[in-house]
Amino acid sequence: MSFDLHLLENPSSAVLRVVPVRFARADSGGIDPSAPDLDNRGFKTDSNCSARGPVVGVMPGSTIQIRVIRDRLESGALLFASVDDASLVELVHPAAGASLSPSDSGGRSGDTLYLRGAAGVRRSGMTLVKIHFGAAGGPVMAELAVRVHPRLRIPVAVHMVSINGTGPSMSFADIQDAFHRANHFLAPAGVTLDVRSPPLADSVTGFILPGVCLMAFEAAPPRMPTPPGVTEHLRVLGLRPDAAALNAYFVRTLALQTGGPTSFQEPLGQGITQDVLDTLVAAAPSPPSPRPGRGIMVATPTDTYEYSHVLAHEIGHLLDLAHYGGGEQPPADNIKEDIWGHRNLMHNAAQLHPLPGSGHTCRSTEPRRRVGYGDGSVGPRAGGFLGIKSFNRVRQSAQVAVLRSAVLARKYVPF
Amino acid sequence: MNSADLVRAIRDHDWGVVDRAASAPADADDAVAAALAGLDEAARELAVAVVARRDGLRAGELLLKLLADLDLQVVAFAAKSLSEIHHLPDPTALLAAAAKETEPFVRECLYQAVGRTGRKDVLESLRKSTAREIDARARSWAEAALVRLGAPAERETLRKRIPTAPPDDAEFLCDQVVYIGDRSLAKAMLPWAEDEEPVRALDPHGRPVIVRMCDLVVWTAHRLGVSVQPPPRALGRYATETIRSATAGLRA
Repeated sequence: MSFDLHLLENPSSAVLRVVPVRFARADSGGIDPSAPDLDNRGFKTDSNCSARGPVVGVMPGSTIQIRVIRDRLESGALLFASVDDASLVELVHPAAGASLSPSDSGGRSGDTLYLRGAAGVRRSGMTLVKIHFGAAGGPVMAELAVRVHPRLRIPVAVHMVSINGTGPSMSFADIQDAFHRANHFLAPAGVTLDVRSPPLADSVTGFILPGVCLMAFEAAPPRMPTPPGVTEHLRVLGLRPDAAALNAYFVRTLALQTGGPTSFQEPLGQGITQDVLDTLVAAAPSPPSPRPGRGIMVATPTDTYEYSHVLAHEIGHLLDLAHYGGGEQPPADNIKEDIWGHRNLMHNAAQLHPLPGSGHTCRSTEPRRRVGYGDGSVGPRAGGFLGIKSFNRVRQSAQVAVLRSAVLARKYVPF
Repeated sequence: MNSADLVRAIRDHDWGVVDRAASAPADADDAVAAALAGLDEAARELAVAVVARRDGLRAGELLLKLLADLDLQVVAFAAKSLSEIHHLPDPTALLAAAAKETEPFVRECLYQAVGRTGRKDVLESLRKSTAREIDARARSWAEAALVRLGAPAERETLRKRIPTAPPDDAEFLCDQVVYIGDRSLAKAMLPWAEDEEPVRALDPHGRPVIVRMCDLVVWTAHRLGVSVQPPPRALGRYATETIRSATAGLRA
């Protein structure tokens, strides 16, 4: 088979490679653990990914689908897949010796690899999946790295917090469902949230507004009274923390004091790391009692998909992940407007709508809103991409490694 | 509480036992060790917490044994605990465990533990482990352990690296300087005191407080026991006079 290559004549442009076969996420809708997002940043990296191509994560015993894209290749061109290390990853489909078919058959999508993390893998490991041209042993047209991440479990204690008699508007069943879907976001990292049942029914009184937990972060200026947000925030975080679990406090509304006494934002959630907790405790007029712990606080989002995204995102913060690309910082177009940033689970907005204000740090553009996860009830869905590759110039580029280390270091427990 | 009560509480996943475990007799660690084979993963994690909190004479030996557990989270917790307890096992056993381990987080904890033994006779073995280490973060911790044990060349390399460290590396270096516990090494951070480059947001969903390079000087000095006025109570964004106080304290 032959085909024409139209190379650029401009001497300032360097044609580095021709990639006739590529890989892509096998779904264009919401998060799906069987169709994980690929880390397709760069081509070949030096440190933690040996593939000339993307990398994807899978748990032992789980099967994932990866779409194979023929770029200017005839549909009849014979493409075969192989796996370097079958002790890590099994090629479920196409069967050994069979070529990829562009047509759907037997309930399987055309031109799609079905890969299973080998059961019993106890430590993370990586292997290469290769696409060969013409025969099973033919020349390699494309490479995909698959990183197998043994399952790490996080027990979750759900606190249904009633404030002045008003509890969260979501039921425990809704919350369990949201955690189930949050697990879909975390599956490529091999992290699973196990929600304990029944939930803990907690109640507090004496807050300023029913159902509302005021939050504050900065200490009041000298000689000014302590913001009520500090007190309320710490009281909720002190509600019976489970010493062996990630404590998730569900309230009707979170209201963040952003300046004057009537100036508020309503964040959907917050991951309270040790740094955040230390700052709150430092701002309190006296040592809080009972002792508050790390955890997450979650309000009531408007959309169920968004709910699970918020849970996964806030747990990401609790487990050391920062916003991808430094999105919370003043405008820094070179990083923030990165398309990968908008696709990332740790993008700093749960929704990808254009936000008001020309200087808004979360401003968006049409291409950056369309990150491949379809539309939900409130507009384009936020993405679930978590980086695996390590790049020196991208802070926390290897997000999965950061996340897994934080789980292993038990940063999810309150004390 | 007696040893049987302690083991029963561990088997029942009663985490409150961690605070009560100190009152168990000295041979309670032996009872925990004997019970390990019959415990589920969650109970074995609790056993690690109990052994580490008690920090008895056999703590290091028991935690070393738990590095062979089949569950990665139990292994990681045992390794993390080894990096924190006082009754450490022989450093050569820690290095041997690190050499067999493929999880980088576990290895970095074990290197930290080796450094905390204070045993200078393992410097060369640790150097060899460092040279073989393939994970960048774990290798950095192995190098920090070498510095803590008194390796002069590695100390000089670290000292030269600190002043020009980029913000993305700065907090990691602060943790290493605190681990090494050497105030004179922290002097290498003094150029950061003039640097207002942002490092990260403390609370990404609030009104973000951006920690700068100069703020890290204050917090690290405080963590090292240097007198800073007013004393910081948490990592944050500090006033100019606080930064001056920290730099003066480090220079002294």
